[in-house]
Amino acid sequence: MSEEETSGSSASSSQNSPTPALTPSTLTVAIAGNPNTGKTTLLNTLVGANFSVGNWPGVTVEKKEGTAVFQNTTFHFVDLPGIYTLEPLSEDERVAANYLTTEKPDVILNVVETPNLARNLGLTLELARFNTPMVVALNMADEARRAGLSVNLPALEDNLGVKALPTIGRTGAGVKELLPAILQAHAQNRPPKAIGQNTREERQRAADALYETIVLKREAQGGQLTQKLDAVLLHPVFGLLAYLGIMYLFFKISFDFSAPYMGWLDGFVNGFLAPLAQQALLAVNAPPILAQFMAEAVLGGFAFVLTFLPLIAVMFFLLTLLGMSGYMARLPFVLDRFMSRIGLNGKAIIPLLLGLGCNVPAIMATRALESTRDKMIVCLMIPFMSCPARLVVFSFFAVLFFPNPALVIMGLYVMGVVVAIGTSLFIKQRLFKNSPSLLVMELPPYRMPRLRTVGAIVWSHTREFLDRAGKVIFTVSVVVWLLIHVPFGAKPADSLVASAGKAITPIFAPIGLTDWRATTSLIPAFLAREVALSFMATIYAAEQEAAPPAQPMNVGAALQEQGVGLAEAVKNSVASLFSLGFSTLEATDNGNNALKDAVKSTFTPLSSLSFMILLLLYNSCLAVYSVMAKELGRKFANWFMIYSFIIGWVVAFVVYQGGKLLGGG
Amino acid sequence: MPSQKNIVSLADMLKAHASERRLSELPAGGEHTILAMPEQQGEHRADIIRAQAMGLQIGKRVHILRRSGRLMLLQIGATCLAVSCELAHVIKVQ
Repeated sequence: MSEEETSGSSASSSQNSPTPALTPSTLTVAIAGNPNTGKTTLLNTLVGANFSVGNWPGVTVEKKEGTAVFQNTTFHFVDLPGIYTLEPLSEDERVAANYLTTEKPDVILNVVETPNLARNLGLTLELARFNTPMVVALNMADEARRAGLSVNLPALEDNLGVKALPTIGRTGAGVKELLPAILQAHAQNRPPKAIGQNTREERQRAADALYETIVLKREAQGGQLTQKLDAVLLHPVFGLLAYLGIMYLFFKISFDFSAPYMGWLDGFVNGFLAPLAQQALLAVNAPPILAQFMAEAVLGGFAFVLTFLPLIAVMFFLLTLLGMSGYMARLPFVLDRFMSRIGLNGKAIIPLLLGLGCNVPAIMATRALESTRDKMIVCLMIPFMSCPARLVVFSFFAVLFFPNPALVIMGLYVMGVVVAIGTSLFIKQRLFKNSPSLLVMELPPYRMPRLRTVGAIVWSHTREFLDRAGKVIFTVSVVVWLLIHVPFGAKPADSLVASAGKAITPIFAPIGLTDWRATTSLIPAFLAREVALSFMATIYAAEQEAAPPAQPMNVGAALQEQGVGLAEAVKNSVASLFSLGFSTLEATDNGNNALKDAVKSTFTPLSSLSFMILLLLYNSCLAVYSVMAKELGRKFANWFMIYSFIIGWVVAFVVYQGGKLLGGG
Repeated sequence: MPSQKNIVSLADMLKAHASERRLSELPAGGEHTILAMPEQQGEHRADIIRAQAMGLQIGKRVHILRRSGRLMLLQIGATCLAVSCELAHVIKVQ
């Protein structure tokens, strides 16, 4: 089949879009299989999507959907969370089992990890009992070949009564051939042969017998590289040291590598885009109010937050590398002894670590935890894991007020972890007396992540940030800009926003936040943390004296200057990789200096620390509140919002007042 | 009077019983065959069913790769599993 025959592909998360209306020429295909067999990778290739993939069991916790068109038939693919058996034990497994039993797909595409065929066949036989036409994708065929495993495809097809095809999800080899096979299976409408259908033991015996029949050659078991790496990375002492080293590098590269680009982007927005926009508006004789709007709302608020994009992209890149390499799947083993002290098993570390990327998918990832107790405790810990949105605010304030900003930011991360642990112990003592579920988890082999796939995932996250910036941050910036000019003609300090801010300021005065501009920014920060910064930028820009019209800009020369700046940023970011300590974050004090001067006059180092602590600890954002309400119920989400605000306020109070007592400013 | 054959099979049974050990008691490095894995009705029944579905099944050869704290790293065929010692305690091997 040529690739051109597939067209009109699209994909959507089941969360975001409804299932498309099915026409007679639409086939619903359920993609099912054991966890970590590459189901989502196949879906991405089949429909041209960029759903997140990883190398650990439990990446997909809810069904994902996408469509592809082939030979006038629309294939509606439903990618189900991985399952080991149709007797579901965790919530994500229930999603898969319920779908297969209630939705009756037209065809089941069973994705099998070929190197681990013996174990995977157990589920294949279970899926066969649905009497639904089935196609088996023998995925990771390259790894199986390297491991010396050879499968007799005709024997497999004869025994099961299904079409089986070798595929390599990473490269896409053989994936498109699945479409005609699915079409044929549906046309023939022949259910798979039932083998060993009655009890679990019977099915397993049948699966073992089938394996012996269809596997022609077996040589190696388990990758040698994996065993060598595990000897170090899972060692009780070296494994822990390696973990600390990897986390250090994670933060160091996130900060240092991205800092030169952030500095350049800041200069690009304020030194190139702003004057260019001003020049363009002057050239067309635009009304002054439009120029003011452009400078204060668009460039002051919205574009300012976008300068932090490199930091977010680098952090997601590293998090994706950790996930796809297989290292993240090993953390439960390395950290189990520490997790057990707070009443959890090691598996809980995965959603907590994902929280460093974004709290929302991290909370959803708790569905892979088997016990409700563990899920609830971890859900309430995740919002204290600092996400990149909070990092945006921290890096701005820390650079502005502290000589060693990286240390302050690391301190805030540690504070979040400490509060999360305290919360876990509190919840465990108050609500759950029973012991955590026992850990049993599969460790996948290490795999070299494909840069193309990593890039696609990073782009997907970055686009999400841009999308949010476009919708939430831009809207808030515009609304705030409008409100600070109401009543019309009033100074920002006499505006409606200022009145609201001044009304709530007494609550925050004991933690050092006495300025209405700071306290008011906490309200829209509930929509997204970085909005606090865009909000302040808009207000401060509105308060500043209008800048005199700039000299006409030589666009060519300015562009050349930006190009030189970008080359310098590339050079500095690469150089940062070869230094051991945190360095370049301290050198980003350029760009929007007017805003920085205004913030410096409003905050002291101590009150800025108090502000950051409150932003770190009080319920992270609206999206987190919503997903928490969905996973745990509205009552718990409301309780957590109050709890986290009190914790945030109390910790900020202790730090601020304690700092003052010690003579801090 | 028991026949010679019965005495031999009884001796085999006693020998087999004597060599039967709990998985959690064994050091890293050894390879064993799973003899029994009772699905208890207690609070950890679900964990045992999960372990079975992941490949820890009666008759399978299990290689203890590593022990670390309260966890064991096991290799069953191509599957590498991290299992808590508490769970390994209910698995009898030879």
